[in-house]
Amino acid sequence: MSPVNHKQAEAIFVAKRHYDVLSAGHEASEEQAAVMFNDLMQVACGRLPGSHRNILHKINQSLDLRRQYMTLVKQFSYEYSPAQAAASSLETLVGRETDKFALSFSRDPVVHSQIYVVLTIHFPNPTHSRDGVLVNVDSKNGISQIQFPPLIDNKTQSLFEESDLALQALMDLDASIVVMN
Amino acid sequence: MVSTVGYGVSETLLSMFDGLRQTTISTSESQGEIKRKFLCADIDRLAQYICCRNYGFLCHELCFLCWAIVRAFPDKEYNEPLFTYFWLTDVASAGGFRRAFANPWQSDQGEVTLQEGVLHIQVGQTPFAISSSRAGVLAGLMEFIVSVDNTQVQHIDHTVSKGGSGDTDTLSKTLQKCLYDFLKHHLPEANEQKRYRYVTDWLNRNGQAPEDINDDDILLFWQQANDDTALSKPSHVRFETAVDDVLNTLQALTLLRIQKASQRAFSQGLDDDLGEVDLSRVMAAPEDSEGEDNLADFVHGALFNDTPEPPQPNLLTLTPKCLTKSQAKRMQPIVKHTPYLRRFCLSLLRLQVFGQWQGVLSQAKRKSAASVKEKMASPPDNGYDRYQQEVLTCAETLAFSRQCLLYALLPHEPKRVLGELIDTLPPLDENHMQRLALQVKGANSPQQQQALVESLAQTWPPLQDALHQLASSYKANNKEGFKTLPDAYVCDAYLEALSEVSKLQGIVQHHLKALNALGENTSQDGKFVADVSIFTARFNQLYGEIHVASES
Repeated sequence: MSPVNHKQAEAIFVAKRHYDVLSAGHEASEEQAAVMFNDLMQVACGRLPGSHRNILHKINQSLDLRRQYMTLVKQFSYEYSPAQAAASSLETLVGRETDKFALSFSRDPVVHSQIYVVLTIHFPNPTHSRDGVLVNVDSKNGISQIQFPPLIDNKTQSLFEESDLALQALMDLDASIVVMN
Repeated sequence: MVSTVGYGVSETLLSMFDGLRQTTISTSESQGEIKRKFLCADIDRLAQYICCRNYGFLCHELCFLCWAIVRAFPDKEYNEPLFTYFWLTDVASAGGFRRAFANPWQSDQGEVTLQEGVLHIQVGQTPFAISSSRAGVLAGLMEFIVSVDNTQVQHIDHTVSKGGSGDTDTLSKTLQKCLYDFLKHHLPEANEQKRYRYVTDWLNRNGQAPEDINDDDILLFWQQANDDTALSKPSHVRFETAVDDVLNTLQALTLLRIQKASQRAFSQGLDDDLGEVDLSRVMAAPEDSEGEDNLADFVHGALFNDTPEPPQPNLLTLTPKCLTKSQAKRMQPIVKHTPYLRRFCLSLLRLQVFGQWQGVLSQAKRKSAASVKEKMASPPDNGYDRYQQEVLTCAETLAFSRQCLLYALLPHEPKRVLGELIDTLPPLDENHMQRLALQVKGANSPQQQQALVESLAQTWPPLQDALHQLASSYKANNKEGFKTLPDAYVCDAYLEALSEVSKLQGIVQHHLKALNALGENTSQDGKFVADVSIFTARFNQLYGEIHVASES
């Protein structure tokens, strides 16, 4: 076989490899695997702690999945708080309150860049005291999920950096917040 | 064993089953541990039910299960028993199923009890039983249905909550329809699958490999299929159906083989007929200055071998009318079986000649016994030679129409017409060719290009002759679309017709070549006489004496 023929064979091989990667390779990777209804349910109810970020990322990229997910979340909610029609101010930390829960924010007196989020559940379920409280937030940046520790005296709290996206979503008055059952 | 299992299954459907196999779940019982939701065997069984379209009873079972779930499955946490059962507990296992229905339920609507691993459901007066070993398949089906249409789960919930056994039946039908509508786009039709299966079964029974099938086998298949009295078999009364079925099955088998070969990277390139490319031949390609370009083209072609759309003879009967309706109809089987023009030339010939006669006979049978008798007595005379003549006429018509199309397109697309004409003329020497290429490159507007064609014709007599030929053909053509020269805005129809005519011409030429080759090997007359007696005997059996006697 002459050198040129080797070159041809190599070119064909390389092209075939690229084509394989393009056509089949991405199917196999977990990143691209389809989201099943089962995954939506499991994530909505906080059952897949390991891979929920990955699935949420995919949900946020598809309008259809996002709708399906929000329908499910509302169906399994303890309370749904829609977007608030109020002007927000950067100076005061505005919480929100419904008949069933209250959300308030307070700045750490020592480390000013950190903020405490206090969630009060007025009529808690046994799961809230046992496993903690799961909150889904639908904001302009997409859907995010925050897990609070189990309730003590109907209250639970978490500490966030001010720059944390989850905190910003919780503080965003235009976001709708769903506290899960 | 020869089998067409897997043919025509869409990628979407395959990826759905893959998705089901990989579905994971973490339940409260498993304490956060994540595991596979379904057993592979259950999904395999579900895939079998779905792909064999045998999901009627399964849907029925699922509806009864859902009826039992919304009543007998306790869900204190969310009060959504259906969702909790299918997606938040480990119900895909028999153990999970037994745990879910551990407590019996009873009311005036009916009752649900679990005895020795079997769930007994009484909906009104209708009893139903589901074994715990079905849990996985049913949960898989639910997941599948929701992936197909996620609104179904709300619909199921709503219907079974209110309903008795009548509602369960209606719901089962709705689910079946939902699956049916989905599968229409992702699986071959059930009828088609049945036909493939019949042919592959026949091949297996006779111990024949698909590569060895020849014209006589097709004839034998038709006769044996007609003798087969099984009730559920697809009908093969018409010879045309038998030919279609065998050739379509062979095509399906070929596609399957290629699919498997490309998935598992088997060696390819040995079968020229399938457009495969032999690497050793490529290596020996001439190494000229354009070698790199050729290689790029070749690699592109080999990878993305785009199969052109087959021509549609019917389009050519519209304006501009290039073929008569009967000619277009005649071409239909040839176009349909293009890959087999050479290999099954005789079968196609039989189909065209005796298929037509069979059509006449079956028409006559509807009329009267006497009519059948009369038609039976007049087999297609001089059949094969006359058919060949017909194809020749058709080829001539196509060539004629092509000339007329070119003439009609000349004012609007001179460059294209020139290109088409040059291919048919004696080759120019290289200097001329280069000069011509430069001139054509310089001419941008159709007017400039036309002027160029005219000046070229004056210095190049063969082109002049060709243009005259176009003009005289056009003048002689009185068909729809060729009476007056078309305007620029209807040009597209002519261009499309031109490409259809070119494609069809290629196929007809190929067919003619095969017919000639067939004529060289055997005497057409002898073959025809033998075939007449075979077909007459069979047609007599199908339409003839017995029927005539019983009718009269």
